[in-house]
Amino acid sequence: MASGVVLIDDDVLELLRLNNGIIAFGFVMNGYPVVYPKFAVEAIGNSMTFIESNVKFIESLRISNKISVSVFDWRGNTAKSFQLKGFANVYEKGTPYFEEIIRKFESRKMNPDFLNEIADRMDERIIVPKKEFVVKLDLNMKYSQAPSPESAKPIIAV
Amino acid sequence: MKLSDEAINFLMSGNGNNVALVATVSEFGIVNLSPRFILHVDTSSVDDKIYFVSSLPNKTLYNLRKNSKVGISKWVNDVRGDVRLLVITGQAVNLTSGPKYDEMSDKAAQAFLNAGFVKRGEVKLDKPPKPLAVTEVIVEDVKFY
Repeated sequence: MASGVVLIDDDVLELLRLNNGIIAFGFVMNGYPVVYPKFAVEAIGNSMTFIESNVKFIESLRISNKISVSVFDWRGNTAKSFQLKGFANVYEKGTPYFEEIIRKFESRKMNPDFLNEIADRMDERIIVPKKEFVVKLDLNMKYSQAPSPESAKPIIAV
Repeated sequence: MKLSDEAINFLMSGNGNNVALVATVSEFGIVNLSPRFILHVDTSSVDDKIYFVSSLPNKTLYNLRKNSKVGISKWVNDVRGDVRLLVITGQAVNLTSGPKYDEMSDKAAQAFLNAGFVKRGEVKLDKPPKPLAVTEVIVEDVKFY
């Protein structure tokens, strides 16, 4: 990975905060591209992580782990919008990473900090219904989707 | 497949706007997500049809030329974490001429002018260029909860 390139920068984090920690997670399911909201329990450097309970989602990610994440401002408070692309890695119960992420979520030691405040006020049954899998998204490319001449120029981290 | 009136209202005005995320996939299996203004939902056929435009060359349009499968999603989430979610999948057709293309192009132009967008470097843009394509999505499946 190219040194010094951090895709999840302050702009991405600002949008993550505006969206109550929820990212738009795009992947292929049953042959169709789909997008679902996911609560990020970690967003740092070049990776994002969420907790998943839907076995169909996991089965789909095992068929194709090429994924996209969009963070944008639904209400138009900012002129920012980003898409990040990369690969999903699934961690099951009992694996060290799964246990680490669950521990961080439950003890409110998530990174960035504002996710802890959001999780405290949100209904956990809605943001994280069951804790069956942990999905880590390793991201290697970011595009600005704001309408500007720079939009088409990707930032590549690999 | 038909969309309920509630789903159409949510698509067109949830969050106070008609923006939805459009997902497409390339020939290499790479998913692309693009926020789009949904112009119109046509309920006159057996299957409902959703329309949005591409004014400039873009990845969504490129992908749809290779693979017509498309996903359209929209959600709102409040401070408590309650999420209202609409997920639509279907088949897309890119229209570049014809009555529906003209109708949607006019609708897009009107929306553009009403929004008061000003192209950078220009004082004003009286008439936006015709879109490269109007995408018609034939709804095949919908989840709304």
